[in-house]
This record gives sequence, C-alpha cells and structure tokens, in this order.
Amino acid sequence: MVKIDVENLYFRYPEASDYALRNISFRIVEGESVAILGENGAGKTTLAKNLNGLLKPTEGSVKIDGVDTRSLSVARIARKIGFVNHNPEHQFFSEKVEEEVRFGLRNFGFSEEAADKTIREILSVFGLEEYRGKNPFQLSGGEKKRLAIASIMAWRPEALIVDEPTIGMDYAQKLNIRRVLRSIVSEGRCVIVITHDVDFAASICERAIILSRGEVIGDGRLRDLLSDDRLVEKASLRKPFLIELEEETGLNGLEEDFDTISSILMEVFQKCRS
Amino acid sequence: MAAVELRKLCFRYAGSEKQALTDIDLTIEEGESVLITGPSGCGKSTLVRVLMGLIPHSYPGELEGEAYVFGMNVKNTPVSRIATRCGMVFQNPDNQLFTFSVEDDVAFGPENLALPPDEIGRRVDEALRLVGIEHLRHFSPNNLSGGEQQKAAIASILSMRPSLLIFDEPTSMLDPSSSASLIQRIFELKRSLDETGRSITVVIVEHRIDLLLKHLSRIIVVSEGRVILDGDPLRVLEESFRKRVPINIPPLLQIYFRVKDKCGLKTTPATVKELVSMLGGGASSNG
Amino acid sequence: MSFLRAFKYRRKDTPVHRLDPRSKFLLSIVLMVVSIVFTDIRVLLALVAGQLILLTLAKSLREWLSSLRGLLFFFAVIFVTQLLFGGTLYTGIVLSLRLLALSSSMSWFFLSSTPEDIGRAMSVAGLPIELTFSFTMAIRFIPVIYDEFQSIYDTQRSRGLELEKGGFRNRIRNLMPVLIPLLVGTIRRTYEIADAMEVRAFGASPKRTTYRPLRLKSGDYLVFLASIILIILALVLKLVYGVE
Repeated sequence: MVKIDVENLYFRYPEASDYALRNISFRIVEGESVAILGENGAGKTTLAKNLNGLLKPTEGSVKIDGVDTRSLSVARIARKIGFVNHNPEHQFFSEKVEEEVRFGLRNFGFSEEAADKTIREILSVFGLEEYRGKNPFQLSGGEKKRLAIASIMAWRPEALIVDEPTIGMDYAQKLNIRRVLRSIVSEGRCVIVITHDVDFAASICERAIILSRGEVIGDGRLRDLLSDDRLVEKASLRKPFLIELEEETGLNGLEEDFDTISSILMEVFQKCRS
Repeated sequence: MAAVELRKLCFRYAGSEKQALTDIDLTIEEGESVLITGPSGCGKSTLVRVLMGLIPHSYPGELEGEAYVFGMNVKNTPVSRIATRCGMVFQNPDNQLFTFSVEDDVAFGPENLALPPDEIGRRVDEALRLVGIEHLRHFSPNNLSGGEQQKAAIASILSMRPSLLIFDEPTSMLDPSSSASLIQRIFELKRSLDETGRSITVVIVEHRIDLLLKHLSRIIVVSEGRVILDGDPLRVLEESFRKRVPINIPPLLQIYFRVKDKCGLKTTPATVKELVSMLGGGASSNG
Repeated sequence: MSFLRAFKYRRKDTPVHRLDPRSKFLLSIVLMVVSIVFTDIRVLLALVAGQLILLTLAKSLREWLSSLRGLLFFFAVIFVTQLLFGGTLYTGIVLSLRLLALSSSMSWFFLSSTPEDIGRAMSVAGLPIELTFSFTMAIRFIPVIYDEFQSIYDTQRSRGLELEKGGFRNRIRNLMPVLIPLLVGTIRRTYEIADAMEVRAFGASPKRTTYRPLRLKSGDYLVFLASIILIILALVLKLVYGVE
C-alpha cells in the first residue's frame, strides 16, 4: 500500500549554484506505472534519488506513506521502494549469482531458509536459475540487467524505480526487460521507469511525468502527453511510434506486436484486400 | 586498394573456449559507409578491434587468417602505425579524453606523431571545424555532456587524418537527441571530406539502425562470430526480418516487410505518413 | 572541503594565468620557504600582502577568500593548542599568519596553472612523459571515478547496506560491496583508456612534440628576478639583521 507524496520539492547539490529540481509536486500511489521522461540533464535521476531517500530535499518534502524521507534511513525506504541502477555492474560484488540476490535479503533480516526459498523462486521467475552458481560479471548484458532487477525484487518492495533500463540493450534484450517489468506491474506493484526511450516507456507505463531543466512540464496519461507535439518538442523527446501510427491511421489501442498490427492494417485498408 | 581485407579470419580470446570470430571473409572498399550489427555478444566489437590492430597487439589470443588494412598486415604492424590511417571512437565518451581542454585532446594524437606545432595547429582547427565544436575548444571534458564529449573524441581522431573511421557503439551511452545529432555529424563530416577529395571510409558498430539507415551503403550482420548477411541495407534488413535475426529493425520497416507483398508496395516508406498513404489510408478517411 | 577550492584551477585570462608554470612554480616555492623560515610578524604580514597582490592580479581573490572559511578550523586549533600549552595570543596570531602565508603561496599557483601545465613543467624538468602524463590523468579522472563511487554507494545503500552498522570488523566487511564494483570498474576503465591512447599513437615517436610548447616571456624573467631578489632579501634579513 505504498504512497509517495512529493510536495514543492526543490533540490540543489551541495556546492552547486543552481537548483537541479524546482517546485515539483505529485503523488504516486500503489499499482501505478509511471515513466519519468526527459533528456539527459533534465533531472530524472536526481528526482528518482529523492524518491527513495538517497537524496533529501533542499526545500519542500517527499513523504513515503505519510512519513518525511528526512526522518527515514535509506535502508528503511529501500525495503518499500527498490531502486535499480542504470549500470548493473555498479552493484555486483559476489562470486555467485545467488549470493548477489542474498545480499539484500540478508540486509533486510530474512532467515537463511527464507532467503534460500526466495532466491530459488526469484531466479526462476527471471529465467536465471541455470546461472545460479555463475559469476555475475560473466553474464551477458541482458542477463546482468535481469539479475540486477531480480536482486531488488527478491525482497518484494512495493514499488520499484528502474533507472535507464534499456541503455545499451539490443532488441531481444529490451523485449525481455519489458516482459519482466510488465509482470511486476501486473502484480499490482508500483513501477517507476526513468528513461528517454519513449517507445519502451509507452509499452509499460500508463502515466508519464515529463521533466525539462529540473521542472515538471507534464504529468498525466502517457498517451495524452506524448501525443502533444509541443510538449514532446519542448522536452526534446520523440513521439512513440505506436502513437504516431494511431494518429495517422485513426486506429486506437494498438499493442507493440508487429504481426497483429500488420494484420489489422491489412484488414482496415481496402487496397490490401483486393 | 581496398580499405579492409579479411581472409578466413578467426580469433579466440586467451582464456576463452569459444571462438569470438570464425572464418570471416570481408572486403571493404574505400569510401563505403558500413554498419556492422548483430545481437549483443556476437563478435562485432571484436571484429573492429582487429581492423585497428588492437587485436592481436593489445588483446592476447589466437588470431588466424589474414587481416589487411590499406595493405598493412595487421599482425605485424604496430597500432601506432595503423593509427595514421585508421581511427577509432569508442563507446564510453569519458574514457577517450585525457587532458583538461578539448583543444589539447585534439592535439594529443598529432603530438604523439611528433608533427611540428604549426601543422598540429592547422589540424586542430580543421578537426574542430569538421565536427562543429569550435566553441568547445577551451572546455574541460569534465564540463561537457556525453554527446559533446563524443564529438570531442571524434575530433581528436580526425586530427590524425585517418582514411578509415571506426565507431564502436558511439551512441550507446547517449540520449536520443544527442545520438541523432552525433550520427548526423558523422555523415556530414564524411560528405565534406569526400567533397574536398579526401574520401574517408566509415565503419560503424551500432544497435540504432533507425538513425543510420539513410546514410549507409551497406550492412553487415554478425551472429555468433560469423558474417551471416552482407549487402544492400534494405535487402539485409529484410533478410534479417525473414530469418528472425534479433537486431533492431526500425518499427516502420517491421510493418513494411510484413505487408509489402500482400499489399503490393513497390517503394520503401520513409515515414509513418508515407506508409499509411501507400496503403491508401489517412487519418481522415478511416476512423 | 571548501578550503580545497583555493587550489582548484579556474580558467581565466590574467597576467598571472599567462605566466609560464615553471616561473610560477619557482616563485611559489620561494614564498613557501620564506613563510616557513620566518616568524617575525612584519615579514609574515609583508608576505601575505604580497600574495594578496598576486591573487588580485590573478582575479582569484574570491576563491581565496572562500577558502579562508575552511582554514578557520585550523586557526582555531592553533589558538587552542597555543593557549593550552603555554603560548600567548601573540604566538597564536603569528602561527596563524604563517599558515595563511604558506597556504596562499600554493593557492595562487594552483589557481592559475592547469594540471596539464604543471605536468608539462614536470616533463620539461626532465621527468619521463609516462610519469607526467599519469599525473595529469589522475587529476583528470578523480572526479569521474568519484562519480562512479557515488553511484555504486547509492546502489548498495538501496539494497540495505549500512556502512555505519556493527563493529570494526563488520564495517570493513561492509566496504566490500562498494570496493569490489569500484575496483572492477576502474580496472575496466584503465583498459579502455589504454585502448583510446593506443589508437591515438601514444608512444609512436620518442620525439613527441607539443602543440603549445612552454616559452618563457618577459613576464617570466621578471618573476625569476623577483624570486632571486626575494631569496637575497630573506638571506640578508636573516643573516645580517637577525630577523626571527
């Protein structure tokens, strides 16, 4: 039942002359899937780190279930809100995949038995059970990413923040990560995806918060926001392919599955039936 | 003389049981713009390291077959010698700039070649101009964005006056607008060099096919260390689609390849609008 | 850390910035030695005044002033230890002035010379290029590696790591999740940097040239002269007039 309340958040890094985030307010509740969009330097990661207590607001407040993050330790928040770094190698230090997952469980006081059981389950959900004894650094890029997410999801946080999940990923790897994140959403957990990959965001998230130069310039239904040419331009984003296709064809509700889209197109347009 | 000639090239990294490259036969002519793509871990980065001589000189392993770059045998030519004809830009922008100003970084290569200072000055000016970053001349890399760092890295290679430019996933750490601007710049500078008669060859390893497609003369698809497709960009993409090779075929083409035969499409659409109008539709007529 | 700001190079166009790093280095060393050798308050005041002129010429007074806040702590330590261990207010002031003169003599040098210029001066002084280059690269990559450390530390804290928890041995063990990824990342970075240097023909010619060779200008000779006069003056004061 997680609830994140951001009220008039201002954030400035020590020594910096300018605010990295200005006057940000929104609420995220359980079950929501939110994309935080914007170009590099817009303040996406800074915002994410304010949501899980790694950074504390300079002014204003962030409250997790009504409690100000200033009065909570990072570990207390992390138990509820997981954070996945954009670079999986920034977290690997164990010799074995299973130990990597165990690290968080141990920190959060799981018994060894409970941890064993959880590790088995989570590795199988993420399709990593065959690598259980392997060195995390020897996994492929996509597998590393999945392990990073698995090692956080293991303790079942109520919300998950994922920073740039598609960076450096090829097509097949992206599909895999999309599947994993979607299944987390379908469990009713809150997923917050920080990305500049609009197509990926559109395939997972209902809601979008668009940042530009440290300010929120859009917050609402992702489809509505990304259909707005002016907003998309202002945030240096791009319209997702599916939204563009829907606009051009007048169709709606298209899903990113090219076989289905193609057969719908062939059905709709006269020219192909003759 | 071909820019690149590989004959029955095989490579295995020391300590690895798997062949990273197997029986690669490849010729790249001068002036081409070639994309090398393929699933992650397919060996494409290994392949371009051979072109630069980093393999075998910096990476231990077993190299078999022949590799020539502008007639130089890679096996017995030092990297610093190959570096006068070939330049390479890497993935991580931060790790390619070593000094405290863009200008000094661009001068770094020519300094190593012991060129006279006034010649270095000319090359620095030219390289900065070609990449369009004269205004960043005195910036420290620590104060540049990833996209700007990557442009500075390109300039610092151009000052070596290479005839072959190799890029190893240059945009993988950049956001979409910086990536687009970087790719645009690469081919603009190729065009302006081609116009002055100093034709250069571009070999680029990337996942972002959508940004590159219109600039390419050829696509090579590598899978499990072998070249599995090679030729005209659109034909190669269509083949990859039919053979279900997991590469990032742009969404527009994904649909085009599926409907083109049934709908009798003759030309390739460049935009969603074009595709829809080819199909005889438009937002107004269908609802 | 604010006191370190007095040593961080800032790009500016001033007569001091334009000086050759070698002449600046010489003057800086001379000033340093003089401030260590003398305890006479008049000499120290003159030294500080002279350095204030240099800092003004280098348009770096602001940075120097903001660093004073950091030095306050050391001044406090000096006064407290003086008063506790039989010194007087006067000796406290003298020692503080001495510290100020000493730190300023390095401050204006670092504020006005790029790490690269310093490296170049080192190589002119006969140190091998590999060494001087490692020096400038270390400075170039410190902030980059620090950012990486921050990212790793944040990631592990988000997995429940609490460094301050437990006894000494526990704390050491707790460092591993931060140190190992940092080590792996840094080693990988080193390889990537080496590759990038290779493709730019590093080490190709033993007679490496420099794009902007160091050249002594009239200003530099003036600084040399000033340094020598300072040495002579200091010797005269010390040996002839017996100034403390």
